[in-house]
Amino acid sequence: MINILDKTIIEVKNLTKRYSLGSIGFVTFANDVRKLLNKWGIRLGIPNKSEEFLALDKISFSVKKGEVIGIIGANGAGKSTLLKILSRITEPSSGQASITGRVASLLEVGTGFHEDMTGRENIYLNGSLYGLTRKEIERKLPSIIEFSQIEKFIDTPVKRYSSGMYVRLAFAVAAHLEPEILIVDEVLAVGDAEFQKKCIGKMKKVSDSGRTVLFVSHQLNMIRNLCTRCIMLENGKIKHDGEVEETLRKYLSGSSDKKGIAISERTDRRGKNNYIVQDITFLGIEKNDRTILCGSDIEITVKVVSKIPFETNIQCAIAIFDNNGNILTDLSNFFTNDSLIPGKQNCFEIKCRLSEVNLNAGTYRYNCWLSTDIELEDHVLNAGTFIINEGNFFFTGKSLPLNKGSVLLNQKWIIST
Amino acid sequence: MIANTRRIIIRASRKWWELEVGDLLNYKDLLFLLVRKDFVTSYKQTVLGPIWVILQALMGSAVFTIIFGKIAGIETNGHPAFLFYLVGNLAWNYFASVFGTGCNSLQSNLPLFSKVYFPRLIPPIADAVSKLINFLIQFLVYILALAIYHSNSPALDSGILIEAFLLPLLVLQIAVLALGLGFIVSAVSVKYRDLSRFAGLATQFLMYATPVIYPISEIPKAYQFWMAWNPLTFIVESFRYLLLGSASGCTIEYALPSIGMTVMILLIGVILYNNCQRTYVDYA
Repeated sequence: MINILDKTIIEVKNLTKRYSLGSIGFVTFANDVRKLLNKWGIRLGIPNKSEEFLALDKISFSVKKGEVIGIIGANGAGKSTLLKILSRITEPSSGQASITGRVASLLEVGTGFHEDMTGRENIYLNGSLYGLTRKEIERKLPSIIEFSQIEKFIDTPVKRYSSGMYVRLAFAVAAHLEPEILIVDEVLAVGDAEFQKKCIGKMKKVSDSGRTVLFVSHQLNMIRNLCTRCIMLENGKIKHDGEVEETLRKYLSGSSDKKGIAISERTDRRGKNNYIVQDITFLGIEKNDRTILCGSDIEITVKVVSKIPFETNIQCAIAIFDNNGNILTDLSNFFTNDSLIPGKQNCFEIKCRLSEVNLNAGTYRYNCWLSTDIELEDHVLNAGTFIINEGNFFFTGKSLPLNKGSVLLNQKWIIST
Repeated sequence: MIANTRRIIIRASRKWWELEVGDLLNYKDLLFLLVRKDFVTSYKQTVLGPIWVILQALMGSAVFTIIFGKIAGIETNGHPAFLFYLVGNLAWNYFASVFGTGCNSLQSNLPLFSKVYFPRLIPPIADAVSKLINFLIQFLVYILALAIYHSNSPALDSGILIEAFLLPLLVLQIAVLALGLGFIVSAVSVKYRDLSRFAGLATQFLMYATPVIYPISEIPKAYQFWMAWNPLTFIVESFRYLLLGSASGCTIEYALPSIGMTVMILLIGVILYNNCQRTYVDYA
């Protein structure tokens, strides 16, 4: 007999997904007419104007039974598209995937809940949407109700539930689907910490029982805890596929691959690009150089070149991430209501001052974002990194060990009796 | 539990005739539960509940009786005008309501379709089944009205024929026809929403092109041949034949084109809908 763990359960071959860009209107209608006429052998002089974008570009991999696979990648790398195709929500444009066994994909919890129906009725409806039969649901009902911890309200319409109860019930159903293959999008990002813990516990159980899990997340620690293998997607292609730590290292350093490239040279930017960020510098104010100490004041300078003069307010944002890819904060004049009006100059600098910066020593990455009130102008992911050196944040000469977190808070301790 | 050896192949180049209708059977419990959901929730937060459905039948037929019966003086085959219109409305209202929701089958189920896989034909079929409850209520209204007419004038010639046990077949044909047309509109309007606008207009037009407010016998002979190609002509006329006792459109000359058209519309509808649902969430 073949070892059961060696059994390939998902086989993906050259999977490609093409999306056409642009809005639907007369142009797409003309295109459809042209295609139809071409099929009939009639050629007209209508130019082909459709623009396409590859969300997945000939992806191939296979998954063995019992593997727990994390899928990571920046926004727009193709993670969600891959999950959607494997969950049969949409079809690939070419290539194929074959899946052996029952799939449950949790792209959301509580799909199809109707708020006028009771908890019990919703369990049936939700379970049957995921392909359970009424008999199966009946059998699992006591266990589902117990897991959800809302026995008392099970015959109350769910619109009277608190949001916590609602999510608990929804997850209880999801947890009882018992599929051979579980596909999970970042549903775990909802709910409180305790609930997330419960979800992770349940997922661990699922994977320990020899089931196969595909798991998309931005939370790298969760991938670390759960997965046995990790696939990194970039621009619709598999950038790396292998052992978890190795892939995560690749992912985190992937940003520094681009270190050499100046922001102005980057081509992977989004937005209308009437404004383009040329350069971003982080300077320590005291010495006016690039060495920044914990607790010192920083000045961030964003150099922008604009193609057209614009005399209304623009929004600038810098999102800061730690070494594990967790977002720490997002700096923006959107929150402070500081107005930034560029005027007629086609080259200007935006400055942002931070006082007593409370980040621990380490390397931080940032994204930058520039928009008018109406439209996104420029958005660069992993625009660069900055380093914070050990400083004297607490004015005691002591510093927070690096493994104790990346945020420092001003604190005062007293005792009262 | 579905056998775990089941193998699913996900690929792009499926042919238009691969409809995966067999998968529907695996989800028959879902169909049942969706129908029950409609029953449970349809009269929530209304004061009068199903009385609205009764009013729809009574008011509609009363208006027709006044305008088309009394003012326009349209002949009603010797049956009381009110009963005549009640039967016409019975068939027409069921068609219009199934067609109306069918036109948005893909659109109104987007929140489900974008999150979980199940055969996409299930929700519209469930809609057609749950609309039957309104049909039954209006059917009872007709029976009551007929009884009242009989008790007032015992010599009345109108009545239900014994063959009326065949009525469910006609109801099935209405459902199939309305779903087929609804699928076509829903599929095409995914890309071109113009069609769903057009569908509203077309429904109004179709009612006048169907013998709802007049019997087919009132139409000049030369046009009757063309009227037969409207599948609803045979259906409405047969409703009258079975429930009132006489109508001239319940013959094989009307039945064949009607059934033929219905089957064709269903096939076109299911094929279009099925091809469309495969990538629908990309367009939405």
